[in-house]
Amino acid sequence: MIRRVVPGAALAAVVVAALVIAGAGRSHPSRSPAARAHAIASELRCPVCQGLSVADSPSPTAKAIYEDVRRRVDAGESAGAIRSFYVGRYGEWVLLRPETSGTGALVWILPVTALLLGAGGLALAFRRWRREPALSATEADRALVEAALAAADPVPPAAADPVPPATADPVTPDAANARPGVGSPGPTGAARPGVVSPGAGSTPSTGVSG
Amino acid sequence: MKGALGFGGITLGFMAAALGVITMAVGIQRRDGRIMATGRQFVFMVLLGALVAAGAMEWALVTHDFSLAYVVRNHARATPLLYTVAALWGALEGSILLWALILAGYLTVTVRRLRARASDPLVAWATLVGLVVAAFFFALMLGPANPFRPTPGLIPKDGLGPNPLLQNHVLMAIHPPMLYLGYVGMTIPFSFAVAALATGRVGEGWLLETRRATLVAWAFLSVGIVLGAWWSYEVLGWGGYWAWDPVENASFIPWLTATAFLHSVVVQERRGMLRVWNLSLIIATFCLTILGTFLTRSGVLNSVHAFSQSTIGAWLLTFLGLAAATGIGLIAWRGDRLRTPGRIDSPVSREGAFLANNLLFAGFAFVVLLGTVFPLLVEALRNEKLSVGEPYFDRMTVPIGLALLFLMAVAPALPWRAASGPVLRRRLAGPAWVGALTMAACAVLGARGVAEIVAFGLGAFAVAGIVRQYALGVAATRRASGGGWPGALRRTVAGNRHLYGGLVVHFAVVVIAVALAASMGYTTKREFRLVQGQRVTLQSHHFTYLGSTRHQTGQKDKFQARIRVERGGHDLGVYAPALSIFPNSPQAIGTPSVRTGLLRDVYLTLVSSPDQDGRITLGVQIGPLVVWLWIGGGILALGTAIAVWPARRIRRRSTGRGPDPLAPPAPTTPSADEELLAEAPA
Repeated sequence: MIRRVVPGAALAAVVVAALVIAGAGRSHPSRSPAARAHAIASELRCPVCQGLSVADSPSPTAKAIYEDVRRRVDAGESAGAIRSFYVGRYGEWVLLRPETSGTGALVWILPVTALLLGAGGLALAFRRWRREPALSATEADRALVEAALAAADPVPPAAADPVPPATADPVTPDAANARPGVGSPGPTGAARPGVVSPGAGSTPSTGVSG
Repeated sequence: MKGALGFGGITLGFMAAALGVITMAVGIQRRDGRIMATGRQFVFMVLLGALVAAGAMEWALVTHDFSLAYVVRNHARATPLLYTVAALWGALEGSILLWALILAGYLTVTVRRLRARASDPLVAWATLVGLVVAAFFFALMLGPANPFRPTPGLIPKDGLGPNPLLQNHVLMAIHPPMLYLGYVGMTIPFSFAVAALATGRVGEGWLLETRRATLVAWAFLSVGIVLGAWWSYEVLGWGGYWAWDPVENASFIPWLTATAFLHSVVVQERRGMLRVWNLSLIIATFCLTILGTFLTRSGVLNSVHAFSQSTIGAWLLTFLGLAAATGIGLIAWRGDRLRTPGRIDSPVSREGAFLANNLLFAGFAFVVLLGTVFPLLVEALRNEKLSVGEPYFDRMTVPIGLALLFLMAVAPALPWRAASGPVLRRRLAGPAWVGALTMAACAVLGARGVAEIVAFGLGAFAVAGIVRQYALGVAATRRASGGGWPGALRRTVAGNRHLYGGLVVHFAVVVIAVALAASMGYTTKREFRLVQGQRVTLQSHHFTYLGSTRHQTGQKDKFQARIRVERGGHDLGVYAPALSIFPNSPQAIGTPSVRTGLLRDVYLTLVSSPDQDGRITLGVQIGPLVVWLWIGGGILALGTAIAVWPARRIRRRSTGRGPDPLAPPAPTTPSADEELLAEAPA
């Protein structure tokens, strides 16, 4: 047990130590006025460019705003006050990072909700899969596989994929291929997924198309 | 004359596509293989029509035929030949023409490859869908986006010339066609997906037909996106390569869904699961390419009210709606047949990792899509104007990107079905330590920032895993058949191109991710006001303003400053950032001058030309590892080429009939051989 835990703990310790060093050394934006001005300017939209921030844009308008932001930071205005001033002047549009209140909040909430729902859905699916007993191949499945293999094997690949009718045909490669999921996960079943799936399923069609 | 020829080509293309659709439909309805085989002949006529139209447009551009409105707007006599040719995709009508031409090319290749199965309903349906899309784009050119509209009134002696930004760099001639090859290529898998649903053959057969087409289109799209970033870096002069601009996002969203598909398709191929999901991804990818065309070409981005000025926006939106409705309707109709039995035994397995991968890629695509269209929706619905820009996208996508990087490091080592603790430890402990020690080394050497360090560590983790898999594969080949390392490497890769090509693509993604993290985290930027002869220093680089020159040509009036760059006593050469005035643009266009290096780029811009005192403003930016973004794009293309390279028929058959590599013998003490076999599914 100890032999198992120690290497993992050591690995985690190295990672955490590296993160602490790297995170602590980063100068906090509140420290230098220049850094604060840059942080604010990089979230203000340059009014004459295509979506660039005031910090990124080389245009004279952006530079004038940048200098104004710097002046306000030096004068002791808070980031919020500077942002509100520019919102008052240009509207919400000037903020490249939408507010987390009002209409703009949706753009933050929706993706997070979607990701959580997706993750929750996956977790539920795994729980259901775990509760279900693993299916194993029945005699009927095996017979079907035998039939498919017998039909596919002796004929050259080009002829093994006849024009299938539009209706479902259980012996087309497609249908044969759908079976592996049913097979038992262990190596004991006669219908081992590996034996059926890529070998019998794909050979006829690749033989024709490739 | 050229106008008539070109319009004739478009008419031919449209008629051939429409007749092809009708013929195919009749053939499918009567189940008559001969009619279907006739229907495919129309594809060649569509290609002919597109070639004639594109040829006529190029001819008109090269010969300065200003009787065509498109030539007047996008060409001038002084435009150099390269940008004259590239003017075909410089504006709306021409890019629709390029779209139609590339689609006709893809369709031709597809029906040629499947010529032995011309009478198969699946192939017939796919051809029909492809021809419907082609007919739509030709119809656009017959209607609102006619590239051959004559110049109204007097024919001018000279044209306006292309947009200045589009006649500034060679990449402009390569990037758009690459992007379109990727975009349009997504029509082929979409056609086959619809065909599979329509014929009811929703199993795995159609996937095998289209997987290579999807990979090729995906590679073109990837390279197109990287080249676009490079172009933006070399031309736009703000020092960045990606601004989360809607036009950039429009190409990136389908890339994300296509990437998700390329991963989840493996689960379907092996386990027969995820059918609905895979079909949805392919249909979504196609719809997103149409949405991207709508966003970039309808003018909706300037203002939601601008797009009503041209009807093309309405056409594209309608087509988008039809494509989406067709896809969703077909999936709903075939729902019973799409349900597959089977289950995923454990989240800690290859399948489980693919599911997580798809969740993250879908989430990524949703974030970018929402951020892109949200301002448009808000303006259209509530008449408010707001922006969603880089700070939003960075905040949302960096965590997703890091999670994907982690999956990329772990997933290829996970066995199918379920992983046991000892297997995980044996496969992952080494690479994980490489990653952890890389993080420690970076932190000790002074690298700062949590996201950056994590990116470097996960990158090292992933690369160590890739090296491990290659080493195990080559060692096994050598044990089995002897020979030297190079030969064994070649045979190993040839034995499983999908796996080893895919690993090269993963390596390319690591290279790009590390370059992104380094250049986003550690770039330094300053501006200097300089008189002639003055010398300044930034990060142990010295910059001396030597003087300036002015070149006047018919194309532009260009002002260039000469800057000597030195580092540690070494002369790195003289660089010449420039500002140009083009006759058709009031604003001066800056051209940066970049000293590209393997470790860092020195990026010089001329912010303003000399004032009355002779002072210029020089922008200096030193960004680490930027060149690895472009190199990573090249490696990615190489990896895809390895994966899609046709395997030799004999070899493929021998691996198919030989000892089954997928049957785990389940020994009590797993050997390296067994591990490798379990890791390397054919």
